Amino acid sequence: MATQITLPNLGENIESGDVLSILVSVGDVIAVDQDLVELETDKATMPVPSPTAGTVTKLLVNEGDTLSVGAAILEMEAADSRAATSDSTASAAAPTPAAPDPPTVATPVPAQPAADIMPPAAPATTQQPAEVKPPAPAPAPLPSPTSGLDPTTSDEDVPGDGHSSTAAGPAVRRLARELGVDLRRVRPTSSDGRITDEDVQAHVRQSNEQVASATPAGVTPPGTPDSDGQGAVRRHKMSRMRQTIARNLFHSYNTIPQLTNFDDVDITELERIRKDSKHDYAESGIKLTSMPFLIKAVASALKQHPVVNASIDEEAGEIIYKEYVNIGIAVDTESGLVVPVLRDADRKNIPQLARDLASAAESVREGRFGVDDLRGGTFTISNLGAIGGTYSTPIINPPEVAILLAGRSRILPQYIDGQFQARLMMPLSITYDHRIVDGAAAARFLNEVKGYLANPGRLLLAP
Amino acid sequence: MHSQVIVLGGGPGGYAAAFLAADLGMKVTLVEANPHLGGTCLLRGCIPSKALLHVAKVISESREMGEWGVAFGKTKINVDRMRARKEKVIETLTNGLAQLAKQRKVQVIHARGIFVDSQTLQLEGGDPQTYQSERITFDHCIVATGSVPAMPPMFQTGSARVMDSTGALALQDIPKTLLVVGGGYIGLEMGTVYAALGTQVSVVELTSGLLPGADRDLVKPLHKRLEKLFQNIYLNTKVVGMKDAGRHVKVQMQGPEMEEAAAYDRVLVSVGRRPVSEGFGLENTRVVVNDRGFVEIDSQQRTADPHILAIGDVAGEPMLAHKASHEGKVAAEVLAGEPAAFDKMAIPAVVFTEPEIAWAGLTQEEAKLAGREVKIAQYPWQASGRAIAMGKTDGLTKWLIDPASDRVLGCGIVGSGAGELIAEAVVAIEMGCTAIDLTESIHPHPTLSETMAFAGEVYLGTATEVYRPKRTPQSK
Repeated sequence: MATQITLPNLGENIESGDVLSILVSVGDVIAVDQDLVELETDKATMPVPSPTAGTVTKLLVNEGDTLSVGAAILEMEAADSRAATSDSTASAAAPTPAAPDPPTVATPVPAQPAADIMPPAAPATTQQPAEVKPPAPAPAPLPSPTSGLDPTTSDEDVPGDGHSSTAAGPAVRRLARELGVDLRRVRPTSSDGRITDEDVQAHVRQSNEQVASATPAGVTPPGTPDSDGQGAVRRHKMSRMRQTIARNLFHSYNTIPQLTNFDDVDITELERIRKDSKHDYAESGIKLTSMPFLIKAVASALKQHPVVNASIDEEAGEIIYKEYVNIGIAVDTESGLVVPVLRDADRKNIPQLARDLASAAESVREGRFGVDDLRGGTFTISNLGAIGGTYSTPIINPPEVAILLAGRSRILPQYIDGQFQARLMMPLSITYDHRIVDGAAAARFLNEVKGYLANPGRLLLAP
Repeated sequence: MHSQVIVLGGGPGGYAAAFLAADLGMKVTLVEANPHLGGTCLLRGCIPSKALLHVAKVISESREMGEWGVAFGKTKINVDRMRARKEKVIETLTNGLAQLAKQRKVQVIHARGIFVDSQTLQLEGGDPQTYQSERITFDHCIVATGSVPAMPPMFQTGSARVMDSTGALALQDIPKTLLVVGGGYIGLEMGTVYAALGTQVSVVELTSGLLPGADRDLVKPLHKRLEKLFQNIYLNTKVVGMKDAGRHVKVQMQGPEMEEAAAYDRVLVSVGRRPVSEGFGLENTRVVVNDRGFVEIDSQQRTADPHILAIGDVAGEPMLAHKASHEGKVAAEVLAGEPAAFDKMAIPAVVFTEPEIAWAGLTQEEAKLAGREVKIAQYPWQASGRAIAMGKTDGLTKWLIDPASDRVLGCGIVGSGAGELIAEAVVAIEMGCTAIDLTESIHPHPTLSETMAFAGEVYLGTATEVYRPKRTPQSK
């Protein structure tokens, strides 16, 4: 019996998402927890796993559809309700347009009237027109006799094999020629393998999207509807994630009085320790950066400066001090800025933080993360060091009240013990919510962070 | 004179191309040597033969009425009136074409057109009133010169008693005896006409069966009927000599049942047709003609000469009017810059004998030659109520079906009206229908068209009137 698979609850506050891609097709045999579709929500892109095993009998969504929690995704025939033949029927039902057609039947076979191939009843002479000789090969495609004519549409452009696997009626074949579509590349959506005009149009849309994403230079020439008065422009729909980022930053920037302090910290000693230890980490596949040290320093400092590890309940007129320290790490991904959260960073040692950071960054870059991985941060660190730049004015990620940005470290002369010395200095910028964090408090907090970083011995023994 | 497009040949391919090209906004000139438009099909082929076959059918059906207790008087035939009526049919249609050309502002030139080069035609003979100068240049020319009956030298006796299909259709008289050389569709159709009119008809065929190339199970009921209608059917038999002996033609044959010379009032030579690709200057262009005399084309009807396209019989087999007109339309669209192509899955063929034979798409013989696995589903007309009611049970409807996908690949029908029934098969094959698409489309009862669906039910094992053990579930 076919059962409908619906969109499960994705976590608090997520009511809907856009179908980014469909990962299965009709006829596929699905295991429990196999991903069915990829969904883009306000917070993240996430796969939707199958709650049950079975065979997909019908897809109920298309890419781009917006799904609410509880909406049907597809119909599935449960694995156990099928006879032992399920495997064979499933594979037989799966459309296989890519299967090469036997060459003997690659072209349609026209019927021949009897007279045309009838040998003469009279004695065969060399002039006998009906004498059957192998037909000469067809001429090669010719240069177009009229300007602007498309290249020859070859016979192979129709689904070959006289319709044995996929079929397209004459009107669909004509449409495909007009749109320049090779029908062999079109995947029929219907289970009977018939290619419809909608399949052809969907194929064109899909290829256009692929071209557009693969070549950003695919601009629209001026004079077309997609240009403004100055020249060509391209319009792209903002992804749900980008829209969310835009909305949140706008809200933060417009509602929070935030300002930024800049400073530098001497990490010469820290860098020496990092270099000494990085080979130990490399053995377990982790590239040891200065980030775990920075996280540890911040986490320790937050315990001592609770007002920076807090949020505001404006309605109640209260400050909410967090007894836990969860550090959000800003990660640059292809689809935009994502901030996974390292939980209880204050209770972890540097090796643990290094491992957690590496796995969180990898999950995020590969898109393997859930909304819960992004929740519950109390403070955010953004590190521009890998890209470059010194100071910036990061924007607070509400409901947090501060964010720290580290720039690229560089050698600067420092006047130490009566002389200038070359020291490795890390630029720091901290933005804070001035409603509850005073300038002095922010400076004191940053001094604490600096103290830990400048004296890594303290960091190792931090409470 | 200059014309954007010239169509050389006014047959069903040529006028279809010319009319569509004009409809698509091109300036078109149609060059035809014959004083009438219509080509072989209309003037000396499909149409006049169908007019005469209609007569033959009514005569033969009136005779079958005896079984129903209805007797008519002795048949009296006025061959002059019959000929005149046939000419009237042609006249109606060819005048219609001239009218349509005028309405579309297609200039019609009645002359022979000879290529001087890839963009110039020399005009000769015909009706000089229809052209102002002897040369006409063009941007593009569509060659639609068609085909003519093949007349091998040994039959070129110079005798008026030895005819080709054109001569047979002229219906000069009703000979007492007629030998049809060649058991193809033209010979059998004309033999049927003359036999109905009272001629004793014999057929001589070189191969082992009538209608070579057609599936044998389709030919069988026709062969059975023709054995009664015709005096003799000589298979595996060769004509080795032929001469006009004054009052008759003496024909020497060699075969298992025929070793001596026989005399016939008339002989119809119907051993095939050959494309018209010589004698009008194609060698002055870049057009390539293959060793069988066909102009080589691509799927857009373009020849090796960028200014010249070719359609119809001259562009390859099958030599059928409906293929020509479709190719003509493709050519016109290609000239209009549209991405048209001739990509048909099924070109129907019909033999208008009684019973008729028709097929489309893959035939059993072709499947066998290609080593291709197909399932054959047959529905004998003995099980059809309508066929029994009409006394036309010598029929069979069959589908060739792809066992993997259940899609119909070909269809063959023998029986009364098979030529009309085959149209459904063409649509089904072009659309890639499966057997269930056919059986679950309701066909009207009681009609012969039901046999199309019933044959599909035979494949599925669900035919009401045919008992067959159900197919095992594994085979779906």
